[in-house]
Amino acid sequence: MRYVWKTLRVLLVTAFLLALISAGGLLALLKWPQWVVNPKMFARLAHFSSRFGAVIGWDSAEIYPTSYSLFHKRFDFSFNHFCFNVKQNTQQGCLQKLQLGFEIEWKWKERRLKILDLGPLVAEGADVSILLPPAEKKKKESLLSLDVPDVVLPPLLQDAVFRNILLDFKRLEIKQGQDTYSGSFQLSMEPVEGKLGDVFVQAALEEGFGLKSAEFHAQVHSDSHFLKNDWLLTGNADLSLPSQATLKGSVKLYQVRPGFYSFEVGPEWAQGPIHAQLSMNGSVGKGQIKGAAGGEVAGFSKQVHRVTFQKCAFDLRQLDKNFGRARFTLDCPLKVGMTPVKLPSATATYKITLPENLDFIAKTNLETSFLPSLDKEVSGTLDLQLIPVEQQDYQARGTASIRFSGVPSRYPSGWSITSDLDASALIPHLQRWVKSLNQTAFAVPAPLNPLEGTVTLGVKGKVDIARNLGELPVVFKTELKSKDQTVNTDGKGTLKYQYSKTASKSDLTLDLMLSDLVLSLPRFGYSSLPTLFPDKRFYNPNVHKKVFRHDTFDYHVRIQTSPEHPARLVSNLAKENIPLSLDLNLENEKLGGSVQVGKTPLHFFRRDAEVERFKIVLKEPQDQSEIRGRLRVSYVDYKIDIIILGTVGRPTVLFQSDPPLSQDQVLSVLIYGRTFDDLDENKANSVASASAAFADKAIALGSLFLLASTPIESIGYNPSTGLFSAKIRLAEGTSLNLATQEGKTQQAGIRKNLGGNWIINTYIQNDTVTNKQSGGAMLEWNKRY
Amino acid sequence: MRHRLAIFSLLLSLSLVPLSARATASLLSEQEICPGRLVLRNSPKIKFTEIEKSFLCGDPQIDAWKYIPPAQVKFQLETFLQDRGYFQPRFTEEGDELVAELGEALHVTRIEAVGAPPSLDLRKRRGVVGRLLNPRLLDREEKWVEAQLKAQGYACPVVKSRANVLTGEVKIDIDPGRKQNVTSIDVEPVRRMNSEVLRRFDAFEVGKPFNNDFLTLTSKRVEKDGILQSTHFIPECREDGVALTQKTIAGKPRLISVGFGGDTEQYAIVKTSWRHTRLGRNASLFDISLFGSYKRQELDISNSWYLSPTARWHLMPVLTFSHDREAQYHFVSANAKFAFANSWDNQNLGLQYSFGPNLNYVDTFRGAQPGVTRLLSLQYDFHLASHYFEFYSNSPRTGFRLGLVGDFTNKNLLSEITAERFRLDGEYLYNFRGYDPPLLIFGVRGGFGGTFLKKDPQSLAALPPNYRFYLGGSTDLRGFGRQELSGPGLDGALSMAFTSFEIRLANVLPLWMQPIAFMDVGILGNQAFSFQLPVYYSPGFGVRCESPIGVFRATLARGFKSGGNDGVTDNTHLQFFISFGEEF
Repeated sequence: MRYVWKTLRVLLVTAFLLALISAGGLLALLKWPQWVVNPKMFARLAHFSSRFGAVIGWDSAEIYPTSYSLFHKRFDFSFNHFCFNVKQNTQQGCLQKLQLGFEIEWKWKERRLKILDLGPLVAEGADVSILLPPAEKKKKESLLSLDVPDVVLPPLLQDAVFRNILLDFKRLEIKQGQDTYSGSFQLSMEPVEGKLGDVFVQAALEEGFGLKSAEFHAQVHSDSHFLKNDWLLTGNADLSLPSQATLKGSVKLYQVRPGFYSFEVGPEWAQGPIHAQLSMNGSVGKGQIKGAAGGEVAGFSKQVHRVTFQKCAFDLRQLDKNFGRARFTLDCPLKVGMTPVKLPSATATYKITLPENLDFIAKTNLETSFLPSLDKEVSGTLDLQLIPVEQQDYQARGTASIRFSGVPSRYPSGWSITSDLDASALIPHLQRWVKSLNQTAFAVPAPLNPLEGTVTLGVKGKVDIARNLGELPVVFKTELKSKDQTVNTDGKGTLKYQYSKTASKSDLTLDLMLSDLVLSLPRFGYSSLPTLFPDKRFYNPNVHKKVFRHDTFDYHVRIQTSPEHPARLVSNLAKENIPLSLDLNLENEKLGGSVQVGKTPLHFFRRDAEVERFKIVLKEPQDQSEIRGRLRVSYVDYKIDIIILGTVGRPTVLFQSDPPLSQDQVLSVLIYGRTFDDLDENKANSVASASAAFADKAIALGSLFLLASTPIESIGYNPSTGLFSAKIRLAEGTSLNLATQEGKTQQAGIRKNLGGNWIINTYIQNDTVTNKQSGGAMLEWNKRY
Repeated sequence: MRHRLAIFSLLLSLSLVPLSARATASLLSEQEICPGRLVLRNSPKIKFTEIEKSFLCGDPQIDAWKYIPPAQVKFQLETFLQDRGYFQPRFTEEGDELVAELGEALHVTRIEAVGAPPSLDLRKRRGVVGRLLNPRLLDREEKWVEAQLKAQGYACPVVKSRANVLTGEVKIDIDPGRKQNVTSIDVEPVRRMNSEVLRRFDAFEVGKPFNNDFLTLTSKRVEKDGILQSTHFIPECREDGVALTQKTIAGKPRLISVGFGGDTEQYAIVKTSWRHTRLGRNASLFDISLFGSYKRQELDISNSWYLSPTARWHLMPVLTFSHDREAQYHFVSANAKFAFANSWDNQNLGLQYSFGPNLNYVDTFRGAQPGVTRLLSLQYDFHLASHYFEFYSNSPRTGFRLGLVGDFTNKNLLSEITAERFRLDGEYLYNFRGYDPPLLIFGVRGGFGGTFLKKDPQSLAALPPNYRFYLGGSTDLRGFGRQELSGPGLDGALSMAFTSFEIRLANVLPLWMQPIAFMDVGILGNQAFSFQLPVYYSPGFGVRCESPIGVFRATLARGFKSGGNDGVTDNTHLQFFISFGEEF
């Protein structure tokens, strides 16, 4: 027992002595902290730390502990070229200068350590590299709840006196998985009367976040010097995005109440010719962002150069905490700034401007992930409404209601985007367009330019945008009238389209009913018809003819007249309007179908005549179009039917008469009003030439028309060359005569018609028997009987 | 001569009327087409038709066409200007007025055929390069190519042209098709006429290559003969060849004609005729014609009687009564002839010949022994000509003709003298390098004739003037007056030979002028096949004018004689001729 007690006593004494020594040592350290807080001791600690995987070192260090009392100290550390490498090279770097100073005091009454002074804190010339473990995907998708921690000084620092803080990382590199972020970072703060002042942050990103480069400037201000959570963050950023895009803008963020922030952002984005400027303000609450936006996007295309929007109210609301779903609504008036249409003048030497602007309202309501994510389904509607335009030149209205759903990253797979389109445009007064376009290259041509009235074009239907497929019913209607003309049409059709990057195609099918069409033809006289269209045989190698691309656009327009109301042509050559039944198919620059002239009286071959029927079945090329026609010319003694068959290029003209006459007799009656037997020599020859030309199909329809309309003096036809000619009255009719009398004389000369049976015959005559030759002129009267 | 000049002047002035109307294009500073709407500036004067103007200026009488907008005016003007060879007009607007500057008219710089068969050589086509380029030119060249191919056996060619409006280059795309033969002819029937009779005019052969020129020639022959008013062929290309359909317009068969006029030789003349061109189903010909002038009066009654529709052989009885009064002779003549005639054609040549007895009574008052001479002769007449000589007879350029006429009389056979007369003449034309239209045409003409007669003065004195030969005049020796040369010491020679060489520059000068140069050489003799010096020759030059109303020729030549003396001292001189309608 005694040994036990002795042993205990020895231990107690030893412990007391140790405690006494420790207390003494502690008191000594408190009294003279420089004993342990000195460069040598730090160097030993740094050396010793290497055993724990942390390599720390510096070139020189200055450590100044200052003891104001036993429990009131100040320490100032200053390291030159401070380097560290910890956690197996995962965190390493060097600082040119690291300076830290603080003053602390143990408050017995409060029983806590208090920082009385902090700073300066200076880290200059830092070059730090940090390797982070790969980021784990956050399961929580509510980052946009903006879980910003309170920015308030901890109680430990609230009474501290702050000195300058400067953290200057001239190079900071962070590697996380495959991603590398590098740049520079600087944070500075200058105290205001010893209190924490505005914090300035300046960062430049050289690599990372999918950016080519970025610069950020931010300032955090607190009226209470961060004693309260009353911070205001302002900043701006200038980002250079891949694909030559830039994004820059300003931001202002502050907390309105806990968990509820207000923001203002003003980004500007540019990529190529497109430039967007946005101003947005709103609030971010728990699971909700809402606000209003305005701005403009410019540089889309020459035609649509600018889209501006103001007071676009938006609301992004989280629907489900677990899955982070959100609903986004937008109500946005849009003004589409269209480049004024510039049409070339008639001579294409200058442009004529036709101003244009369109206003829309866009409304959307879509469900998406609260966080913008390409891997989450988006679904909703987008309503576009064209604010009705009611100008003197045109009126237009339209709506497009688009429903869509799908995962953006999988587009177009699994996407459904359908749109109900309903749009129409109305020209209330065609004459205004006629006048506007008059000087342009797209002037409304005669005889349509006197027409006045309305032209309506509308589309209504569903479009499958996801499959780039659409089918739009099209409506076209005109109600036009002028003094002698009417153009009332009613067209219905469908515009189908399919779009793809490689092969887009659209297809317009339109049935156009000419419910009432009366058109005036120009006044024709008794002379040859002028050539109204350019001769396609002439070409300019520098002007490439636009080739119609059937692989991109097909159109099928059927133009019809109703059986009850055929179109009518007004002509000075017809006694009454010429009824015209049309059934035309216009397909990809090819005109097919038929044109049929109904029964109509007219002056033909200088007689009262009637077109019983005349039909052209159009084919390509157009001179291969088939003709079927029958005209009846009535005489006192005869009724002559002119039957036209064959093709436009080579019409076959047959003649029938009642009572029956031979073809030359019929021609004679038609051209000269008398039977062949009563004709003089010249006219008989003309009839013969006409007959030859008809038989040879050398008389085009236009020539037949002229023959029928013109007082014919003589007709010539050269079957060798196929050249047909007709001389009209008042012109000189000349025909060539060549005569050889067997064995006796040869005679060559010119016969010149003087009218009736009279001709002047100039000749040369060789008498091969007497070898006499004589030339002369004879006035001759000839008659066959 | 003065009379000839007067007629020439009258006709020439008539022919030049269109020329004077054709204003020379001059550059105008401004030409107002539509007042206040359309003006041509710094452009040649352009005349638009009334209808064209209505498309440019509008038609105030039709409401719908009152106003033509500038773009439409521009479009129409460009179209109308194509016809005039302007393809790149420049337009400006001055207020409401459209101002057009036409620039230079475009002319053809080059013409090229694509797909042409080797036989078609476009280099032979003249007069295209340098010509105003317009649709009519393209039409014409297409037709020309088509005509050329159709003359080479390509019956159904397809010819399309195109023209570069910057360079003036013309390309003609040709699909000649196959060369084909004529396989059949189907004739449109003519009332009361056997259709087969038309085959007697054929200038082509069935089974031989198609040639459209020869179809045209055939039609011309029919129409010249008067058997039909008109006819033409319509070829149809089939697998086995070309089937022809001959269309006919018969007209009435009887033709009466009365004419009054003037002549370079006989001055005022009257001519009447009556013909029946379709006698019987074989379409024989009966003709009565009366000719009257100061120098000559003649009544002809003739008939060409065909015994078979398919045969070309026919009988040709002719009765002729005439009275001739010339400077060197004066006689009255009556002929009764009964000839057998035939014709023959192959693909290139046509031959006509006839022979038969001719009873001729001549009552001579002057130029030979006065009194009545009766001659019964066997006359023959052969004419061979290439088809292209006949085809181009109105504008001679190529081919040849050869004629041989003659007769035999014998004192023992109802004739008062024994004489044999013949005359061979011919003509050959060569179109230098085959250009079309021709550039240079070389011509050779010659004649050789003689009358065999007993060498006694009685026979010579009784020989009527139409058995004698004379030279001089526009038909043989152009350096001498008409029939001025009658042989040394003779009133008409009994033998004659001459040849003429001529070169003509065609289609180069304006106003249809074609300069010619020639050399004629001839000789006469006092018996057949026997010639006496001197040799007559006459170099000269002249101009041929192919006007719309006929061909004028004017020549100036100097007559020379060499190697002898014909006893006439004043027959070598400058000789000026004007002829009308004469070729060569």
